[in-house]
Amino acid sequence: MPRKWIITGLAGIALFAVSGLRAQSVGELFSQVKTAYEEQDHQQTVDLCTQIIRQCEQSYAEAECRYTNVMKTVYLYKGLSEFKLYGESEELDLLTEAINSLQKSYELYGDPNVAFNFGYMQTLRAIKLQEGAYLDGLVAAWDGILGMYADNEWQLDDELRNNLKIFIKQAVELTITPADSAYTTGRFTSFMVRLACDLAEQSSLSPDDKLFFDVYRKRATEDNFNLRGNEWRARGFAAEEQFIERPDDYTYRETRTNIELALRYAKSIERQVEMLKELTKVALFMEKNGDDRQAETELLYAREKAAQAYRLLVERRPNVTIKLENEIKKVYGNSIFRLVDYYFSLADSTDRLNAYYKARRVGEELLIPDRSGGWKQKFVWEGYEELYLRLADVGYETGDEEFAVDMIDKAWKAALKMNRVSQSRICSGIGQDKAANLIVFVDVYQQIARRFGLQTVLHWLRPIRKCLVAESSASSFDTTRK
Amino acid sequence: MNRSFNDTKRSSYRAAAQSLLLLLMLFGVTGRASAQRIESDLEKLMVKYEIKVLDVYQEIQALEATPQAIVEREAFHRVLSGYTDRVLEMYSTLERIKEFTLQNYRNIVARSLIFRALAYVESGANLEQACKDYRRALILSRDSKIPVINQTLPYEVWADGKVYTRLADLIDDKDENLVLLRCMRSSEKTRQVP
Repeated sequence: MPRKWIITGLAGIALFAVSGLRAQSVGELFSQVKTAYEEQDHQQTVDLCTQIIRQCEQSYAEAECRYTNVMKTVYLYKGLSEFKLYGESEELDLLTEAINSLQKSYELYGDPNVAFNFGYMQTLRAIKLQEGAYLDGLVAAWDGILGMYADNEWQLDDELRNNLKIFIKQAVELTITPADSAYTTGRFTSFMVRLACDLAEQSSLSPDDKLFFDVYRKRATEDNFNLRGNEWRARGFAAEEQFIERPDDYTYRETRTNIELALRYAKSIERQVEMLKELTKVALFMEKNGDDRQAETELLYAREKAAQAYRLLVERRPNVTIKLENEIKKVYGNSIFRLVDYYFSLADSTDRLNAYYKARRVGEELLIPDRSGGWKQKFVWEGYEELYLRLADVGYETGDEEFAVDMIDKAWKAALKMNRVSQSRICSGIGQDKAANLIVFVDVYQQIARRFGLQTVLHWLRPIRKCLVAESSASSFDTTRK
Repeated sequence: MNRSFNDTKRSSYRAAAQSLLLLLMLFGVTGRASAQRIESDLEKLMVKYEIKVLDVYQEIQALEATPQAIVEREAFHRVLSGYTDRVLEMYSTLERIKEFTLQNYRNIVARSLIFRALAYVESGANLEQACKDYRRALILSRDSKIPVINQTLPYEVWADGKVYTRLADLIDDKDENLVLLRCMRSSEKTRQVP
């Protein structure tokens, strides 16, 4: 009998304890959730929502668990709070939880805003996980946008315009994820960006917004809808601007990586030659102005890229502007000249002859035989007379008379051409600058002629030099007097 | 005195009744006008979204046959499907607004459904849905003088470097295995069985 009493007593205590610890009702929890959410207590919101969901999973669930409005809000608050927590901790599990919660909320109540939000989060996760081929997020977000547009009586408001901007930025980011490999052709993201621009342009846009959508439409359309390549190109140019302002190793690497990726994903030959030209320009700039430069490496790189661009220009005949063609020739010529100059300057410190021959070999890359048994440059570029002059120096130093004379003669003619001066008019007032420019060439010419005993050449050059010196000093005298 | 009071009372009743009638008429006119506006808005949107369906379809045609394009094709299908569903939704709404729907609306829906069916058939995915769409498209355009697939399209369709002006030609070229034709045969058989 007492034993029976003890058992009954214990059962009573247990029951009391259970009733004391009994979970709060879903209704009570829901009002607490609302308060916690409004107070932006994200962790508390998630905990309470989880508790509601757990209670609702029990066999005898309370009535609130069957109310769509309650449960869709519980999942929505849970998802949004989980996303906030993800923002603080960057833990991807939280992001996944947030997506699942919002999807559940959307299943219960098809709010397009929720569709946009979980679509956004799905794409964000794909970007973080480097899953560039995961396009479900974009599809869901677009569905959300169309739903919001319909909800808004097919009118665009600021919120929708902002969502369109977010959508475009994500589509672009996803298409370049991961950076160094293309998981998709990029056609889908390009199309989605164009769709978003179409929708945005149906309303009147502020100048800033107009610029935004114009820029991205162009980026999604150019080079055969090559959003990926165009985005890398834009990033390359942006990095290049920074690099020119601050030429350090980091900005140089960043610029080069972006432009190299733009080159890799370029669809047309036109775009390829443009990117190769840009790479050459960047390397040449680094060699000249960089804080931490490795001259030979940069120059060799520049020469390689410029040569590739020129080869494409000659072999594939792309439909490029004259300006771009001239720029390509200029950077190619420049990179060869600078490399020749670099090896030439090494002659002071290293094996002299070897340095000169190296310089000559590099220079010969641009030379082709001419009709009179000599050599001429493959094309005329801005500054081509300088390369002839430097090669003449090389000929002089190596004792190659034929080469030196041929080169200095070409250099002299090129200098006259670039200065737009006729040889017969040298003594009839060509101006101080031009005279000063030409004297350098005449001096080298005379040096070479002296070294190789070319008396008649010296005889011919003497009056020319005299005129140039007179012109140069007379002009300076005139300027002083004025 | 009493008579004139009654007259005044009667005339004020009349005036009230007249203004009520006027108000009702005004409401009627405004209501009808707003219904017409909604109708025309929906019609415009249907046309716009049909063009979007076409755009997506043509974009799918431009996809290269590479492994990378597989996921993109699926994503395009979902976008195309989304637009088609919206065209269908607008049509259903118009059906609710009007006692009878214009054949023009039905043709828009039918064309959208055929594009979706063709997209599925070309990729070999979701053939059941393709059959459903195709059947529904033909049912919708049953009453038109020329069947929707033989009508001249209000736009040009570009696919594989060719221009199509009739859906029938596009179906001939794209549905090489006659999947859509077989759908109709099987549906006829099922209808005959009971």
